[in-house]
Amino acid sequence: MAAIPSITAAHSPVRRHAWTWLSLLLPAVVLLVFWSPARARAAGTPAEPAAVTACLTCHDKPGSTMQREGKAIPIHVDGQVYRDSAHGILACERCHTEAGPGHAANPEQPLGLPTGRALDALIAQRCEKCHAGHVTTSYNASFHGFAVGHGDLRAATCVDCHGVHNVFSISDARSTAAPANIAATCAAPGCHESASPGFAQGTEHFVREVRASSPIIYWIWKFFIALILFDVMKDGPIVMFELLRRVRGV
Amino acid sequence: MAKAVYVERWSLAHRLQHALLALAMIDLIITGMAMKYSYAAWSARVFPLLGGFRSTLIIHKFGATLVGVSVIFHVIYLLMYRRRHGPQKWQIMWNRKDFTDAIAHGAHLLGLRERPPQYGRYSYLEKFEYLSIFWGMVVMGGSGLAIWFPALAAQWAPRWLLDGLRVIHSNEAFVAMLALAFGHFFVAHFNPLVFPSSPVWYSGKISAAHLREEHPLEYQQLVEAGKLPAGAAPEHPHVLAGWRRVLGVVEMLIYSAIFYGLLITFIPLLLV
Repeated sequence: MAAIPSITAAHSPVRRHAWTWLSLLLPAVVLLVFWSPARARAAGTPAEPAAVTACLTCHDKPGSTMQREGKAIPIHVDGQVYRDSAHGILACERCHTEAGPGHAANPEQPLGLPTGRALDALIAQRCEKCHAGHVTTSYNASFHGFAVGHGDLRAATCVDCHGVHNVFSISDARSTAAPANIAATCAAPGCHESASPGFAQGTEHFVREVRASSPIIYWIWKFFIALILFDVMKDGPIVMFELLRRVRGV
Repeated sequence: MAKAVYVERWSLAHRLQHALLALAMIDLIITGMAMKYSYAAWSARVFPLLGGFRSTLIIHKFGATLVGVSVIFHVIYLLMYRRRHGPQKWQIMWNRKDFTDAIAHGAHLLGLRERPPQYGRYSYLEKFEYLSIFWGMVVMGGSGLAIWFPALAAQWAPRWLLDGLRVIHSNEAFVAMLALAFGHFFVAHFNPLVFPSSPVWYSGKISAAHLREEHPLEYQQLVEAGKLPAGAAPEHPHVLAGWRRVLGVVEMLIYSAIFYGLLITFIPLLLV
């Protein structure tokens, strides 16, 4: 009887209500896809506010500095701004990997960190721990990425455009990389100081091979690949046949 | 063989312009390719030799400035030439014969036509190269200036255009390098007839034999004008012999390897 298909089988109580099983499974799928990575990323969340609070006990003092090689280096972190930011749920150690329990026990002990631009570049390398993929790939393929990657620390790192303790989603108006703020961010002292609003009319994170990331760049690139191939097909045979003719002595 | 007769092909002004541009191009290609291929392992070894990424960029901009100087030099040269010799038909300009020459040359290389096309002072390939330099100056100079001064350029251009100009600058550079490696360096250096180098760019002189072979119409004019004795050059073209013939075979291997290498590199990039 099992071989008889259709009508009876379709109307059997089990089959008729197959979608109910689906509707039960669907949320699980949704949760698995969207919720569990979020869970994983926020792992240990309950402990973290305490960790952040511990750091801020010393660091949330406006104007506080430390002395290094005769220079006063600011170490103040605005706790309110940080807690509001997109990263506010993360423990400080996620980015400041040097500042472990040893630092809490002995805060005067130097952490062996560089200062200035070198520190920015070092911390920015840690963004990739969570933000791997397109943003990192496109940054590494950008001129900023080339320059920083080869040791020219004048060029922008992640933190120069997205902020330090004030990182927000770029769809949040408070983000330094929000469309309305980009031109001003590019015009930061030491960067493109006379940057005009034209700086905001485009995208920073594109990869020329990925059409969706910037169609115009993709097609310019394709055009030139075709042009290069055209040149290869034109110049290559001219030289090869010229040599052939000469060698054969005709 | 009788003593070779030489003819002046390039004046001192020509040679100076060429030397300036050649120097600038060597600088730009080395520094530019290191930056274009920043992600490649070899470029990480080139930057330290040039003093780091920052100084590589400075050396690149110095080369760009030299190109700018050579452009000004050339324009002044053209204006002065016109002033001294009056308005004229420039021999470097294209005419209908260049198109028929191009087709005839192709047919000759493929063995469909016995006699090579007869060139005057400039062959169609030389004219095309000169035109490409003009085109290259506009494209490379324009895009280069825009990405050198992005804040200034962004007052007229949106950011996506500047990013597009960087892609153009980077890829047109490759086109220029190809033209130099295949077209220019073959003619001036690697052609087994002139290897290691044609003397035109440093002494300004070309042998009557080469002139007759490569620019037979100009040779004919010089003979008719009495500037060259009749029979200054042998009638028959050069035939490769001895080590030059071996060199020709070696070059066939090298040039075709590069040709196939370029094809298998760029065809997949076009198709993906």
